[in-house]
Amino acid sequence: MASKLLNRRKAISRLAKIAVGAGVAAVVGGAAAYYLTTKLPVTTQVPEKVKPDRVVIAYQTTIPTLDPHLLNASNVEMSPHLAIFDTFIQQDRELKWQPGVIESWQFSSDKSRVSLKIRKNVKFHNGDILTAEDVVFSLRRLGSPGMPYEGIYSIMKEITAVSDSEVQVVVDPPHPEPAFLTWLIGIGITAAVIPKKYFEKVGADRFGAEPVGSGPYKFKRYVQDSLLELEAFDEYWQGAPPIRYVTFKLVPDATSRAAEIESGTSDITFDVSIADFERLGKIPSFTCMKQPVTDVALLMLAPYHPQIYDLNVRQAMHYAIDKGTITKEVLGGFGIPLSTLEAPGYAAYGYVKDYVFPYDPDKARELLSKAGYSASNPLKITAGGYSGYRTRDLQVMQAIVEMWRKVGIEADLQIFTGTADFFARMDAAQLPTVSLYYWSNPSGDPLYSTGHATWPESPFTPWFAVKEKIDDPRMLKLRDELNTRFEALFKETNESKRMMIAKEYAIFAVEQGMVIPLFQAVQPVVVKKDLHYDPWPQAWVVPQSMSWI
Amino acid sequence: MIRGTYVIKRLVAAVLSLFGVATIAFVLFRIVPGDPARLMTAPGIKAEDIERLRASLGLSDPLHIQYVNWLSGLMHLDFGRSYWLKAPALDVILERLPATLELVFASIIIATVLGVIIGVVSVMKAGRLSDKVATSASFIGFSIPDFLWGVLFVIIFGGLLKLLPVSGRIDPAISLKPVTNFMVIDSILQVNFIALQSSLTHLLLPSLALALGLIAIIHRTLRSSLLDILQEDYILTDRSKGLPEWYIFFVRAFKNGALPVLTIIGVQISFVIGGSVIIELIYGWPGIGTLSLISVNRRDLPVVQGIIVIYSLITIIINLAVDFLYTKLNPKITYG
Repeated sequence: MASKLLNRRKAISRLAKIAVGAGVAAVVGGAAAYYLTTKLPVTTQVPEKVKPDRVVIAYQTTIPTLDPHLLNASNVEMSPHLAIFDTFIQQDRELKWQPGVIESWQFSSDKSRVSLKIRKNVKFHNGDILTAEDVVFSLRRLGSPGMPYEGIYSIMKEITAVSDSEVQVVVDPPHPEPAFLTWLIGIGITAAVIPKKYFEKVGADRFGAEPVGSGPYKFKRYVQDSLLELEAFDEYWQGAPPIRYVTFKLVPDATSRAAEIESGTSDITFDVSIADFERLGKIPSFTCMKQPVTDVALLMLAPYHPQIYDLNVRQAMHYAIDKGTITKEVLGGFGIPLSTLEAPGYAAYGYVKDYVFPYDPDKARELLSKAGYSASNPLKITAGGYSGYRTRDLQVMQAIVEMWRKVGIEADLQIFTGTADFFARMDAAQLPTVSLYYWSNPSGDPLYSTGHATWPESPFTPWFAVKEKIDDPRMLKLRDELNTRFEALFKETNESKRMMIAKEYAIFAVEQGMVIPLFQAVQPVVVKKDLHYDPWPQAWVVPQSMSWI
Repeated sequence: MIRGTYVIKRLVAAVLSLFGVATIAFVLFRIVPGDPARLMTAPGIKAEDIERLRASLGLSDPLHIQYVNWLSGLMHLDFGRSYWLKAPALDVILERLPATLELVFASIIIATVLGVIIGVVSVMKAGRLSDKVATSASFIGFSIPDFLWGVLFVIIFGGLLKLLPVSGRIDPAISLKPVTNFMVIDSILQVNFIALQSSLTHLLLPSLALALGLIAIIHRTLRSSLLDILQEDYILTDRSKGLPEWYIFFVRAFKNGALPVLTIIGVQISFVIGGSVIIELIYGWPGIGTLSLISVNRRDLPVVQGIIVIYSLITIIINLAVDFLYTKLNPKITYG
């Protein structure tokens, strides 16, 4: 009896402890959940029928510096600077040059002089008026010793303000207009107009910490590697932007960016994974867009591997690749197949758009056979690619290797650890036989899209490291031919003749096979339904073109 | 007790360790492929421009000159100038260090508190269901890498449940004056409870992701240690004297049982710091982990080398602190 009572007591005591424990946990958990979900300040909670005054961008990259002239980065990384500063001229969505702070420009017939007319009554954020002096100062700074793009901007040998609203530039050596104009916006650097007086007063370091520009947004605050806040500039010469405040929230991880927008803490984001893009596309509160950008994926062949000296081999490698399958099945539609390095939207695209390099595996086998290869004697090469540098880059290379295997090419796939690894191997003439590369050309000009991607004198091609060491007569002949074509493209001043040269050059480059164009990259963009935004082909994030519906 | 000679020996060892680490950092990033000057350029640049840039960064100097410059700079706390950020590398690192330390300390606090609580419950209920549940949970926590927990938390708590923020240290709408650059401390100092709540909620997921593995280790170590100690003769003597069980457990046994836990924490801290690199990337946490990834990719040598030295210094300091705490917990232990 006593033991029964003891057991009952123990059981009741145990039950009581469990009940108390569960009750406390429920109360604490419920209070915490209530507090966290209702008391968290959510900047994007919107009262009914009132447009927000702010947009939060889950931004996919870091901001190395706020000084536009010191930026060495991709096009995307120019985005905050394009909001704070004006570049010398502007570029529209069709990649055409448009007047900006420089409202007109006049080249001499030999392209050795340029006259730049400065727009009047443009204000900097601190109230100073933008004059020719600021343009001169900015151009000189870009080309001064120690600046990252000194070599490019130092072609502007003399830069003089002839009045408050006109600047004369002597260009030596003379450059074609598109080349010069490209650098009035910049590639990987923002060619911005900065205020001379303010810069000289505060110095470079403080200018980088508290930048002043003439752009649509003025700097408000920057938390290192975390966020950048901007406020609309009411006296912007093109009119104040629609949204008052912009926050660039730095979120380098793609999964976190998807969670940011899904949770509502951000309003727009870019470059989420394909899986997240498809999943978010099914949610009615988001608009998901695919934007082709000025970025081309290509294969570069290294001219120091004897297997590829035979043109039949190079062409066979190209014929064997089914770009349609790669862009549709591997990339899920995030790619547009290309036959040349001129992508839709580029200046020379219209001249080459009817040219097709077809997928023809039978032709590939025939050409390999001519070169002495067969199923029992396959061509053996090395191939280089990335893993995680771009969307499904490893899968793209794996698909290509498999396509090659079907025609009798055995490719040993190596993975670059990053662009640093790729360039190191390029400089040391140690690239694999063929390497995947992404060639960005926001200018859209064939001098950069085809020219610099194939020119043996460019340090960005595998030719450069061995240009004096090539001894195969076929490679020597090809090298000389590419040099001649590049020079013709560079020197031609008549625009329609230049486009014809570009067309022939683009097709020649592909048919000679030292580059194999694959596809134009497509950027995933996810935006809240009530935020209007048309993405830009330069892959810029442009808050001044966003508006709440 | 720690004798003066021991302190001196440890300090000398620390200096030699730092010298070794600085040398390894220097050599490592001159061996791995990648030209920092090259990575700072774009098509259109000529080879001579790259060479000029290389010279301006001091990379054209002979290696032994670069090494001497690096070491002599180190002795003056000059880590050089960041190639990309155009600022003193030490300033760049110190600006971001509090973010990493806040994350690491929060992880260690969470891991220690939860690990000890679960460990104590496990011991008290040894062999029973709650002990088995705790042990299984430990295995799961330990088996899944911290970065995977990090991604899972982002997807579940951020995306699906929309319960907690998944990036940054504080809500962008909150403006907090940086005093210590520790968000939680600055919120308290400025008596800003909204900022405090926001900084704590932002800190929760990344620090929990980092802590889970350590919770498991602390739990297992404490459980094992306490179960052994509770079999010791002096404990049996205390019981036979009729001392209360809670006194025997928390006053007599726990202090000795905690010693191995302290050692484990000291050892694991370097792994927590290492794990914070990926967690910072996942959560957009602006610490030196994120900075190190960006700097390695860009071959920003002064910053990378500086971060390696700073990480080593933190590990050395924490291990010294652990040794000190050890002697406080057990006065019988003497160093030196």
